[in-house]
Parts: sequence; structure tokens; C-alpha cells
Amino acid sequence: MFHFRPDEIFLVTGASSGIGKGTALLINQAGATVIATGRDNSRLAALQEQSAESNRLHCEVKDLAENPDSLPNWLMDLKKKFGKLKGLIHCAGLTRTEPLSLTNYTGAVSLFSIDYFAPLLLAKGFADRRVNTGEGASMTFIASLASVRPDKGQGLYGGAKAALVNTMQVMAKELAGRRIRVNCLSPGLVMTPMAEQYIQDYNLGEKQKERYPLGLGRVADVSALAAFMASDQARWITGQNYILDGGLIG
Amino acid sequence: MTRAEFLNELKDILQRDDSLEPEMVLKDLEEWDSLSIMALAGFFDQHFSKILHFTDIESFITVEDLMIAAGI
Repeated sequence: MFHFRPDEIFLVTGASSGIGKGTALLINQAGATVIATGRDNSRLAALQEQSAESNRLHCEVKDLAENPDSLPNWLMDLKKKFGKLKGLIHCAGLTRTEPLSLTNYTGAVSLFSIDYFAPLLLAKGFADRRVNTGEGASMTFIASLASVRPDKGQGLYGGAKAALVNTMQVMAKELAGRRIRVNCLSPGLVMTPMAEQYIQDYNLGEKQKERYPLGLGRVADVSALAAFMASDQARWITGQNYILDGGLIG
Repeated sequence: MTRAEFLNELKDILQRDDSLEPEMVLKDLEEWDSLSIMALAGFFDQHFSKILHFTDIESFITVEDLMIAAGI
């Protein structure tokens, strides 16, 4: 089991629901100080109420896709407010199923803003020596199974996540000299509010369940690995993209 | 770019809290590593249209040498 100290500060994005929320609560419970970000103030307030260690859980409302170029300065501001960051756990993201026939440039840029440009610029901000704690610091990005095995309609989403995984490998190489680790987790279908909406919208319920030998994923299946990756116990792991897919075949 | 602006830009490239002085020795700076040198090569290309190789930058001794290379 992983443990964190109160002076270990983690920024968790997408923390108002799903994997981000589960991860924020888990590492907070394990002793860490968490800066939880999301777009919705009331849902972040609900997160804080759920935390048993709410004095170590700070909420910051932020739309990451609004102006990705502002993100490095925003991280610098967070550091001034809370102290140097031990880790970034990036869970914010948006999925959209869209066949090639519906694809257009404007929509593509919009999806890439949240699924690629936002994590790219967050990483730039986090990698600044003035922002992170140096040796032992880490970044963990929630990518997607679509980064390596995209389905029909996932051309853009899978493309953005594949780009993220590729860039993560570069970051891992660039930052290894400073002993900063960078990894991705690529889950298949996890029962989050976003995924439930996706299943409902496309009437995929039974069909999807049948594809997963171990059943559909739960938030805890992913947040446990995210917390481990953020801990010092993962000190020898960098540049990896871990697939969590319940044994999905085909 | 003035010398003062250059020093400020260099501080950001090195991601350094403290200010820099021309006589400072580059290899003595805690922030001086291969990644900083790579960023500095990009900076010279973007702002001064000068292509500097890794070994060129490594041969500079002080911050002043960088300013001379930049022509300021």
C-alpha cells in the first residue's frame, strides 16, 4: 500500500468526477495534499465534503481547454499559493465518437485542445524546476485504450490520446536526468458518468460488456494504479503506457 | 533585445529563481544541464537567427559569453 506525506502536493485534474475524483480522494486519504481542479464549482465542493481529510484537499475551478498557453503560468501561480508540486495526475478529458464522414477541422481542434494540448502545456508548466519538487516528482496522464486500439468512430479521440502517449515518452526521456517520471494509463471502458453517457448515447450496453472478459472497469481499478504511479514505490518506472482493459480481446 | 532582457529570458530558460549576472560561470549553475542547453539552442535560433550546436554552447564559459554570441 502507498503512503504520502502532507508536504507531498499533487495536482489532480478532472477531479470533479470519475477517475479524477476517485484518484484525488484516494491519494488524499493516503496522506497527500491534493489540489483538485475541475470546471464545476459545485461538484468540486461536493468532492471536498466527501474527503475525510478536507484540510488537505484544495479546490481550484479551471477550464483547461480555454487557453492552454496560459497553463504554465497557472501552475506557477499554484506553486506560489500551495508550494512545489510532487506530482501531476491528469485525468481531465473528453470522449467523442465521430466517424470520418462527420470530422471537421474545428471539431478536431476543439477535441485536441482538451485531450492533447491541455496535458501538453500542463506538462510544460509542471516540468519547470521552479514548480516541481525535483527528484521523485512525477506526471501521470490518463490516456485511453483508444491510444493503441481505437474503435470505429475514435479517429480523433484515439489520435489525440496516441499523440499524448507519444509525447509522454519524449517527456520521460527529457526529464529522466532530473529524476522526474512520466507515464500514461490507458483504460478501456470504465464505468464513469462520462462513459455511462457514452454507452447510453450509442446504445452499447450489452455489446460492450460482452467484449470485456473481466467485465467493465471501475474507477477504483484505475485510481489505485494512478496512486501507485505517483508514489515513490514506482521510482523505476517511466515512459510507460499501461493498458487496463479487463482482458479485452478484439 | 537589451542585456537586461537577455538575462531575464535566460533566467526563464534555466527555470531559475535567482537573478543572473554576466560574470557567472555557466557550469557552476545548478540549472545548467543538457535540457537547458537544448532550450538555449532553440532560443538563439528563434530570437537571433543563429544556429548554435550543443558543443558551441558547451564551449561558453560565462553568461557574458552567451551575450557576446547573441551580439548584444
